[in-house]
Amino acid sequence: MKKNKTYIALTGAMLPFLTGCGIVRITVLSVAAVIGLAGYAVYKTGEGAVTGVKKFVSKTGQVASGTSKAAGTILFFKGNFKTEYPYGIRFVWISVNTACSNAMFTDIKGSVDALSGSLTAKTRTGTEIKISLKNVESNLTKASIRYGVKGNMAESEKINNFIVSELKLMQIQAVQSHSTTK
Amino acid sequence: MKHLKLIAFISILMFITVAISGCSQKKSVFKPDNTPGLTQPSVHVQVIKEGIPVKETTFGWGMSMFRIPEKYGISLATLNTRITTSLTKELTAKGMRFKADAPDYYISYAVAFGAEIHEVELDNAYRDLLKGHLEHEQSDLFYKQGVMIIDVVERKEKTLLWRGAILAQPDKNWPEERKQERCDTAVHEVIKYFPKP
Repeated sequence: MKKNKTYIALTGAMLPFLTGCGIVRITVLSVAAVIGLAGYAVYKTGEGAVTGVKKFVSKTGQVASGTSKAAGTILFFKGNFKTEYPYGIRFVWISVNTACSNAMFTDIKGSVDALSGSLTAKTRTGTEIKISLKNVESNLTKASIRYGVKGNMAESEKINNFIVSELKLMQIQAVQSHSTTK
Repeated sequence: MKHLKLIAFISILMFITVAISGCSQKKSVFKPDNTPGLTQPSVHVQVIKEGIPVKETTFGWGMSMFRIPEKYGISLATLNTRITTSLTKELTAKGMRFKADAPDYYISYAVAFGAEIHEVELDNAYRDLLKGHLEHEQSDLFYKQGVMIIDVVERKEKTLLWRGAILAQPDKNWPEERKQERCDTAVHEVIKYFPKP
């Protein structure tokens, strides 16, 4: 009788392992541990890496946590290199123009207003570069860079780096100018 | 004796649960075998649609998303080359074929290093690629540490078929000449669970 019960118990405990059901398996292991069956371990890796933090997400899906904004998001899709600059559109527009001039691109044309901007330029080899800007907030501008007809991530990244360097330089100059005026 | 009775009782309950539910667990966590240059790795399969055809299907590149602080000086284009090289190797080994225009599946990926990605942000970033709301359970996940998320999207229907991710702490001093090897291993550890763990 005793042997039969033991056999049933062990068969039952093995079932989740045979069926490959993770939830049941973990539950069985946990229960087994609780009731004193030593030797089992629940694999818990990843719990520290993936954490529930619902409170940080607003209804619109925008993440309110400051940590996620510490690094800007860059997207590359269908040849478009999309990024965000933490500056107003006017500031970004000047930087984009200066960056294109400094890069010795030719045929630099475009227009801007308080809401959006668009610029085209050509490389020495005649490849067209298109840069679009969109005002998101007073201190946030979305940008899309496209190199050539099909787009090119490596070249777009270089152009982005030119713009970022120019933005930084302009910010330093603005701060210096402000402190001199004071 | 009491313990054995309890085990038997719980086992029967488990049996009934499995029989009724059919064990419909969607999300799974796995421990990678060997990941050079990555510490504390874990693989998470977040979305799995049943019956994804793989053999003789075609794949192309979808969205690439990066969240890497500038201070690390990582070239995104180089990283993209590494990841797409690894993905091509893994997917072709499964019988898929690369097709740049109008493939059956778009393969997208997101990478964060020294930053976090929330699942909602990822889904929002994919808006152009996916129609309507994503048909998977929204969880409250922040992908922390270093992470690479790989998505398989059905191009015509614009639906997310499969999502897998590897989370780990990358070794910042890992030699340049071994970065492709590290990337290959990480991609292999995720893709080995595609289309089904």
